[in-house]
Order: sequence, then C-alpha cells, then structure tokens
Amino acid sequence: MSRFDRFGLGLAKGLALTGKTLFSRPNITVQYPEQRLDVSRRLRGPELIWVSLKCTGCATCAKSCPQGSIQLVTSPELVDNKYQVEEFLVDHGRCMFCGLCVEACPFDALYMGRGYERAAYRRGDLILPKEKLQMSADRKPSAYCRPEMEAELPLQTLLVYGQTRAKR
Amino acid sequence: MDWLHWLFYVGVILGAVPVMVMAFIWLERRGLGRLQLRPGPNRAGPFGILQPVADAIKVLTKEDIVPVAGDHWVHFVAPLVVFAPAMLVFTVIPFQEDGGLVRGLVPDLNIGILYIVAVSSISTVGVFMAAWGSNNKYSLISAFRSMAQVVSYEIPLALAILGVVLAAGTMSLTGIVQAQAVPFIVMQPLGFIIFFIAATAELNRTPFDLMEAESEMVAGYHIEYSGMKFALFYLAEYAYTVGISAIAATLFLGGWKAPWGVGPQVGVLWLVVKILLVFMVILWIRGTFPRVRVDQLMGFAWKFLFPLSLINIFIIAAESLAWPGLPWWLLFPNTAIALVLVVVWSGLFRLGGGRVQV
Amino acid sequence: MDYWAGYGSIALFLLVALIFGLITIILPKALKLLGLVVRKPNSVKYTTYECGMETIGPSWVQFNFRYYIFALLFLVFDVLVVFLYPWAVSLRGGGWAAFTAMAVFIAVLLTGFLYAWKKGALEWR
Repeated sequence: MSRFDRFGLGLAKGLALTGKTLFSRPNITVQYPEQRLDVSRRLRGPELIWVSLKCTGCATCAKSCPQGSIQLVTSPELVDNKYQVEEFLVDHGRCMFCGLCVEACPFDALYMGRGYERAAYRRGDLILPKEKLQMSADRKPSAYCRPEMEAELPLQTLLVYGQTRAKR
Repeated sequence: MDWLHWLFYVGVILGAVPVMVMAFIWLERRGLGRLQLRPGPNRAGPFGILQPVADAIKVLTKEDIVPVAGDHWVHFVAPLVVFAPAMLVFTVIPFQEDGGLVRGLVPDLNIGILYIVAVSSISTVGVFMAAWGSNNKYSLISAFRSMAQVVSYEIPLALAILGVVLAAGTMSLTGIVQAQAVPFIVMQPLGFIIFFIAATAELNRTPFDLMEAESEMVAGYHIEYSGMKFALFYLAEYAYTVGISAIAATLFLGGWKAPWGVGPQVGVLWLVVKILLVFMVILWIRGTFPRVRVDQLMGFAWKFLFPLSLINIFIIAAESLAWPGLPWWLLFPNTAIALVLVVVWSGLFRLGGGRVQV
Repeated sequence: MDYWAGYGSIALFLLVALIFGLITIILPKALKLLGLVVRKPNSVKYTTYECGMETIGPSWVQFNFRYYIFALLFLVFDVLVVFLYPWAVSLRGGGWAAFTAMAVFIAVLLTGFLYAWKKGALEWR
C-alpha cells in the first residue's frame, strides 16, 4: 500500500479522517463560562491564601520573597506566643507565583490558591490586605507544598479525545 | 429589453447573494469547526446562526482606517473592482428551464461561459489595486503571489471548461445544461477534477490560499482594510465561492435539472442544493489539507493540471467526433482514462523534502 | 436573445453592482454623522501596518523577474485558449480536418512549452 502513498492516497486518508469527525461529535472545546475544568491539585494559582490563626508573624515569607511583594507589619507584644499581625499586604501584580513563601512558612499558614480568574482593572486592586487574603468559598487552597491536603481535592480533568475525564 | 424582468433579477441577485454569503459564512464556520473537533460559533442565537449578522453589525460600525502612506483613491476603488465582477458572475447562471417562471437575468447569453472566464479574472486587478494602494509589503507580496497563482490556474480552468463546451457544442450555459442528459461530472471526470482544483486555486481557498497565508503575511492584500471596505472584500470572496460553486453545478452537475428527473421540478431548488454540495466539498478540502508551497503551487499548475487538461480536451474532441451523440457508456472509458492518467502523472512527481520536480 | 438586450442587461447590472458597492462603502460615513461610527484619529493608527519591525525601503517596487516567465507562458496559452473556444463550438462542423489542424497548432505551442520545461523555466527559484 505504501507504493500508492504518492498517488494521492494520503489525500483520501485525510479527507476520510475529517469526514469522520464531521459526523461523529468528538468536541474537545470547553464552553468556558459554563463548563470549567478542574485544575491540577498542586496548582500554583495566581493568589496567595493566608490563614491568620496559624500565622505567628515571623515574616519568613516576606524574607523569602524574591520580588519583595509581601509586606508584614507586626506589633511587638506577644499574645499566645504569637506576634499580632497588623498589616499583611501582598502585591499580586508583582508576585511571580514561585511559591517560595509557601515553602518557607514554618507554620503552614500560607497556601497557593486554586483560583485562576484573578484579573483586575487597576493595578492597585491587585494589592490585597490581610482581610482579603483569607481562605473563603472562592479562595480555596491548593496542595502545593502541602501534600497532606491532596487527598481531599478533586482530580484534575484532562481533555482526552472528546471527553473531559479525570485521570490520575 | 424587458425592464420588469431586469429589475426583478437585479433585486434577486443583489438580495440573494449577500444572504447566501451570510448563510455560507455561518455554514463554513460551523462546518470547519466540526471538521476540526470544535463547535464553531455557538453564542449568537441558536447554533450561532446570528453570528454573520453580528459580524455585519460590527463591521458596519468600525472605524475606517486608511494608511497615510497609501494611495487613497486606489485604496478606495479597489473593493469595488473586486466586488462588482463577483456579482457579474451571477448574471448568466440559468435558474430554470425555458418557460419556467424564473430563468435568470441573461441565462442564454451566447458566449456565457467565456464571459464568466473573462469576468472572473478581473477581480485580480482589484486585488492588486488593494495591495498597491495600501503601500504595505505584506499586501504587495500577497498580490504578487495572487497574480502568479491566478495567471497559472486560469489556463487549466479554461481548458477544463473547454471540454464541456466541446461536449455540449455551445457556450451558452442554458445550452450546456440542456446537453447534459448524463451530468458531465460522470462523463468527464478528469475535466471535473481539473476544473475543481483550478477553481479552488482561483478562489484562493485553502490549500491554495498563499495570498492570505495568515502565518506568513498576516492577512494578505486586505491587511490595511477595515470596516465596510474589508466587509466588501469578504463579501466578494464568498460571492466568488458561491459563483464558482454555481458554475461547477451548472457545467458539471446538471444545473437546474433534477437528478434522474425525479423529485420536484423546481429548478432553483436543485441549483441551490447542487451549489451547497459543491461548497461543502470545498469546505471539506479546506478543513483537511495544509497549505502548499509556492514552488509546489506553480509546479502543480504547469506540470500536472496543464498537460492533463490538454490531453482531456483531445480525448473529448476525438470522442465527440467519433460518436457525435456522446452515448452514456463513454463514461466507463473516460473514468478509466482519468484514473490511469492521474495515477501515472502523479507518479512522475518526486516526494520528499525537496522541490517538486518531474 | 437579442444581442443588445443581453449585454445591455449585464452592463446595467454592472452599474447597479458598482452603486451597491459604493453605497456599502459610504454607509459608515453616513452613520458617522449619527455618532454610531467612531473616528478617533491618531498618528500611529494611520501608519502602515508592520509586525514589530518598521518597513525598510519603498513598498512600490517592481515584480521579481520570475513572475515575467509565467506571465509570458500565460500570455501564449491564454491566446491559445481564445482560439480553442470557437474551435470547440464548431468542431462537429469541421470534422477530423479541424481536429488535426488544432492538433498541429497545439503541437507547435507545446514544443515551446516543453522547451521551457526542459530549461527549468517552470521551477520556482
């Protein structure tokens, strides 16, 4: 058969393939606002999530940040063997989501997020104070550098030949 | 001249062609989507059917940008020069048998097909004017390529049509349709293949869309056009596609005739169905094949299509002299000859990374 | 059909098609008066389009010479096609004599074509 490849058989094969896809419906496009794919469980999404209860105000995260985009101000008196965090500002516009702060945190108080729709119209809107850095319903932490959380998170959906299916 | 007849058809052509173009744009985008495992436009209206309308509104309200370095007058006139011939193609397409209610504007012009060949090459001038008026190098390269391509594929196209003229013994499109007791696609498969490939190249559609090769020269000759002028180019391009589909349907698929004489005897209906059929094949080819290179393009026209089309007309001429009625059983030798010639001739071409050489 | 009626219809239709196109182009200019079409002039907007690099040299240049070879070939064979059309219509009247005459004519032209092919004029370099 390979002898006939140069006589236009390849053209016929190509036409047959596209003709087949015309009548079957293997649609691999995700209709974005309605359908969403589950992202990787260890995603370093473009947001930081801060758990105030665990934080001791040690500022290791701020020191580890290569961009200097974390600002941490604490009051000197210790309550419950913790510094009181007065100000915790993260400039997400400057952050490059390297995850070093998450890795550096000795008390697991920082997480990378799983969200990916964090665009804003103004650069100032990307600088988040500590109230907005908290965990919430639409700010879920990912298992990046926190492998113990991995089991609870949904599996990533992959687009494989027409169906969106979860794959380990 | 019957003024009422003229007025009616001017209305029909100027109304039906843009509507058909919009329908075809929708069909093309949906169909191309399905061929490529994606849904195509599906937001505007059910199945995205209002997408062409949305595009039209968008393009109507766009700012008109004319580059200061360009030639303003040539830039302005170019869309008209491309658009008017595209519409002129439809004047000689017959819609129905003589005596029917709707027949077409001038369905039995005595040199109908020659007129179409002549008119359809005018728009290349418009393309070149657009490129020259834009004063942009992408446009200019695109126009150079377009000229070379149209010039090269014009000859196989005209020679393939010649086979039909030989068999029918007339250049009037009505006469050609009446001569097709058996559609010429079965009687002259080689001629149809050559016509179809050359027409695809004349239309500048994939795989021969070198002049608007998006990955190389952005948008080709209409790169500096925006708003309604761009829309006119787009309309003309699709009007040509509809026109060439209509010509293919008329010359090779039996025009207004119902296949085997069965089904409703409404000529326009069958013509539209056949146009749609040809268009779907063009679309299928667009969704499948990659773009050819320039040397492949020119080599294909001059080394493959041109010799085969010459052989084709001599076969048809000899047959029409030997058996003047062209009996239906000639389709068997013709199909065999077409197959053998295509296979043998394509065997001459070397494959591989190098140039196409014989 | 009457000669002038046929071509007259087409000529008038050409006129209508041109006016149709002209109206389509001028329509946005009319809509601009209603404020539907914006016009915000800007010196950068009206420069020639490029992809990152400014165009070097003039754009109004001559064709590369290789186009002329194909143009010449086209000219020869397009004239051939013009001769072929009336031949095709009246072939049945002319019979085998007309067939042979055209075969000889095409053979003469084909000799030139084969020479061009042999010399590599059909290669795109």
